[in-house]
Amino acid sequence: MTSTYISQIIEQVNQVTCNCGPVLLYGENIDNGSKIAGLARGLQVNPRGKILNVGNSELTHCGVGLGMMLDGGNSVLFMKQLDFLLLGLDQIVNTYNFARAYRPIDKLGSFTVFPIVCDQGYQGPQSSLNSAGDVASLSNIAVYCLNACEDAAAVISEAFVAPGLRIICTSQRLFGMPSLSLPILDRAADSSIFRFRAGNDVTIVCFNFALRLGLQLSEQLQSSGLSADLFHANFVPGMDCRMVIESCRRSGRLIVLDDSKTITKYGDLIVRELQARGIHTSVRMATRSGCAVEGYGVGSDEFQVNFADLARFSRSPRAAETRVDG
Amino acid sequence: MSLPTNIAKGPAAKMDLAELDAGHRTSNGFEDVLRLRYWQHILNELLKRKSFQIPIHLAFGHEAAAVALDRVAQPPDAICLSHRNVAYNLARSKSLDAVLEHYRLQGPGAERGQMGSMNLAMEDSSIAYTSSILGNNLPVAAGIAMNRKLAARDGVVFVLTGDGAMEEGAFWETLIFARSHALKLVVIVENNDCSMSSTIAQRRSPIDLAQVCMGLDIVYRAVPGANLAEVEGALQSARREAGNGLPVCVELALRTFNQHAGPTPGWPDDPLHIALADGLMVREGIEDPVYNIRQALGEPAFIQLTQAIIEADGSDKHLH
Repeated sequence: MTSTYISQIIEQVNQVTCNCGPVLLYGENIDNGSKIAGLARGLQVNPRGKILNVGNSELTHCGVGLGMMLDGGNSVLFMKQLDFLLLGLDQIVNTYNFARAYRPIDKLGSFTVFPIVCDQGYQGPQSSLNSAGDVASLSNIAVYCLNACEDAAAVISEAFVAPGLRIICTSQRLFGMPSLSLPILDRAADSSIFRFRAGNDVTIVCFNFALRLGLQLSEQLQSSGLSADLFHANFVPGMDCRMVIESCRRSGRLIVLDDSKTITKYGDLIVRELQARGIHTSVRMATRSGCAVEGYGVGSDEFQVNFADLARFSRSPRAAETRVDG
Repeated sequence: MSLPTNIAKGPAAKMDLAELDAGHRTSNGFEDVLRLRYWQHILNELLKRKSFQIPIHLAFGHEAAAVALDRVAQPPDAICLSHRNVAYNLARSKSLDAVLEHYRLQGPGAERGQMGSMNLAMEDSSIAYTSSILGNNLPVAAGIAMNRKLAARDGVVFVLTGDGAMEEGAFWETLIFARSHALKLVVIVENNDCSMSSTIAQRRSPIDLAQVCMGLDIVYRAVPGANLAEVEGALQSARREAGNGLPVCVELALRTFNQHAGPTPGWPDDPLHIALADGLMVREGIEDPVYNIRQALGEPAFIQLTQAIIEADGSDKHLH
């Protein structure tokens, strides 16, 4: 049976939760019905852990996880939609600020929020928040977006149960798709950056859940004789982006693919870093530019990429200065 | 600094603390309440002099509740506080000097962040968490209780909140969560009929917490918050009941005698003009824990005890 995006993620999760000792896995309908639209289907836990169905109170669920963490316990909150996490932002921001200000990290337990990003479209204006990076910016914590099997395995094995707080996001749009296996060529120690393809003509950095589009672009470029460095970047404050910077130094061209709706782009950090280091790079931001009014209604919510334009950009002359266009 | 006038007017005979009847001192907690009031007076005098860069939410009137909790809480228990935590931190740490270190931003945790006042959780005090966000500490307390339950560890979690935080969704959510999962949680509601400067009548409809708790199948207790023995009794019972996995709500009717947060710019002057020079007692009435102690001891013994506490304590050094 072919593994899907979500089934391989649950496999990775089970490898952790079956071996990590005491851990509470909790969420609304975590062991009932669809099991959170499949997010918790097949979920297993070791004998010292527990799977717990809880009521509808996301604010309190976030506080409970942080309270357990302060008391040295481990927990993972499974959440149906990133939208729901907005109810718990006071806890994610303010309570964790207390913890990191006054408690040594090695004395803390683990708290992971494990939400679905409702990006499949046709869900309406209140069930389509996909700006995971905004949560990272607001709370100054790492927010990971699982894309390929390999980055998912790395993030889950290292961060699913580990001291402190983080958010690990899955994409509803990808749930039923075949899993994507892309061997990691290189990675940052903080899991902020993973490199999946190596090339010299253009640097492609994918944020949120855009890696499959980035792969598609790199393969199209390859068929026309251009090679690309292909990266997936997580929303990690203070991210170690040296690999991307070095790639841009070689290629002189950077394409940022970001399917999130945020208007504050993490990709801007890379541009700023390039400018600070005086590395002349042409930059093409293939991102959404916020939402038009009609964009808030029910629709496909699909992130459109103009591959032909990006291919032209990839063949353009190297810039004499760092310049963002398009 | 001269002694407060209503103490100085007392009998000339001096009494050393050590000479006081040991049972009298330790069994009823009066000494602790009076010392706590004295320390708050010291802080209040320092606030008047603008000695701190940080806001400090004093808690004149909350001393009996703080001492009662200090006497009831056992080593495995955990305590979660709100922004108005000064009385509890002083009661648990038993050191004005240690708290002042934090208020002067010279706390021992200098290698990490300084705690200041609104998030003060004194070291080795069982105070696990303190929040400046109304209602924020309630879910965290439930989480600590949940962790203890899953790990089969002893201990009851006490969380302090008030009539303002009762209006927050977190209050209701936490009660439901705690009851649903049989957590060993005691929610102490300090009902001072005040949220910043608004009384309950000025901002919302009444809430009958007894009825609310009945509806949620949560044990409810209500006592006057300025009466040390009654608060202590209620908290003892609550600790026992919570220990059996029944969350408990204890509502304390009390009065906060000071203004919101010290001499805050733009805030109306403290109508009571609380001053150490006027004595430890702030109000002649049962809302003041110190008044209740005076009534229990009688005037001569009260004066002797307060005089002995102040002279032995030496905290007036902070005012020189």
